Amino acid sequence: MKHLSRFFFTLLLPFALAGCAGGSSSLASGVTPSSSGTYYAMDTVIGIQVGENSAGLTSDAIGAVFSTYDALADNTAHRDGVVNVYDLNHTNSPLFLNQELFDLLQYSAGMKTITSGYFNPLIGGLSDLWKKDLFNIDSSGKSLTSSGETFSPSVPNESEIQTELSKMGSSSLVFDAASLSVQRLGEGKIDLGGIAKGYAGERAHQLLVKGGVKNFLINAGASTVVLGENAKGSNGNFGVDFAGVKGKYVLMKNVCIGTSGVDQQSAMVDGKLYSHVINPVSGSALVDWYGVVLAGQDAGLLDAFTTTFMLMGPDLAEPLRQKYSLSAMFYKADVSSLVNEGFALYDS
Amino acid sequence: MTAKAFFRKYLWDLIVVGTLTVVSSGFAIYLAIPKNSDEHTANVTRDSTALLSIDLSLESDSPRQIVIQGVMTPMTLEVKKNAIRVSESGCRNQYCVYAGWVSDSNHPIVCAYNHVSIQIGAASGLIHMGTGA
Repeated sequence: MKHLSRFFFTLLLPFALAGCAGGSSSLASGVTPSSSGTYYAMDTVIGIQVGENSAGLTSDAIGAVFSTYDALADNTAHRDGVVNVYDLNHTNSPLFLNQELFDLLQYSAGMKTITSGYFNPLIGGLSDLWKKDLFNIDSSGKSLTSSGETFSPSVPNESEIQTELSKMGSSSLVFDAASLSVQRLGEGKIDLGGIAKGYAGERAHQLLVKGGVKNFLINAGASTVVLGENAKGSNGNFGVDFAGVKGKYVLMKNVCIGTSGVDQQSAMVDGKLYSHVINPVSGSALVDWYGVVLAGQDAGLLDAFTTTFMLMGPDLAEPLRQKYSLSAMFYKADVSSLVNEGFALYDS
Repeated sequence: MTAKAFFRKYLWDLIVVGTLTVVSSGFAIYLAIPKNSDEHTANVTRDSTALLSIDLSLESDSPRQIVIQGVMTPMTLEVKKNAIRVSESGCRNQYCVYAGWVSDSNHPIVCAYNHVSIQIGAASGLIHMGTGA
């Protein structure tokens, strides 16, 4: 018996030593171990890594934040058990919302003011019009082109654009904070596609920061990234590169990064390039700047500002960039057009 | 106790400990060594589970089709020399189909509807930011 117990002890010892060598030291009680996972929300893949912490936060908990806002911001279908944007778009009566959607809508309405109308949460009708003609996607977000079929993009005529601009301009959202109700006045259709992902990312960001989590990464569809410190990186930095800024990368930590661009959602009509980024002021989807990268401390702000800055261009956007202490890159078809304000770029 | 007596008494213990130490150390070293990045390998995953790993450098210039099952619908992939694409998918937006042929690690194809990702090559350590909404 003595030999047997000694045998098992010696058998297990190397594994225990190997475990220590691998760095997975045992956790104190009350410490939640690091976790990671891939989640699907808002038509995109969201990669989440959460380092060990004392706040009980896991990647699943952060993923749940995105799932919540996925349901709330959905304007293509009603979701059971919750009032969402789809419901708001189908009535002009006040609806009682949960705190999360109420806050998101108020934040979006505030963005319209901040950006002088270059971001507008009531752009849904105009957006549907362009998506139908450029990409053959209907108002429920469904492609009407069968696989293997070729679709020829077109541009809406001016009267259609003016009709949608008029609907948007004559519509508004009325907020009642006491009852958490929102009333949509007019025919303008709410579309939070340009802000919901970043806003959810910022809510998740706040959870992680308040929870004292040091090491984390949220990569929401490669257009919204929220960075803590990289446990494996030099000085805690993450390396990040960008599809539109070839051959360069940045090293950053404790920051949010947002991007918007045209390379995956654009169409050429009569020699002109159009994209999914639609100007709520002019009604046009014509491309000038191909993409924008922004870095700052509020992922929701960045999500709204990336599309806004693309439409404004570097000169018009400069006061907003300075006011919110953002780093910004603007680019066109090639890297020689790059306008860089505040990013330290390295050659890759 | 003399050294000779010690080794005689604990011979088998030392053999077991030594063997397991060598095996576990070797395993740890194997895990720690960065694997070679292969820019020609397309890794197809569904819900983080590997479905396929295709060496695109071995494909011919004529595309061949591979049908995989996404979470919601089947998807048809086409592979040819150093390139891969989604030729058919039952997803509503068809972004994965519109992505077309891809040949490098900077352009992963994602079908969020089917929870399928296609990534060429090994991760470089950089976070690749694309162009979203």
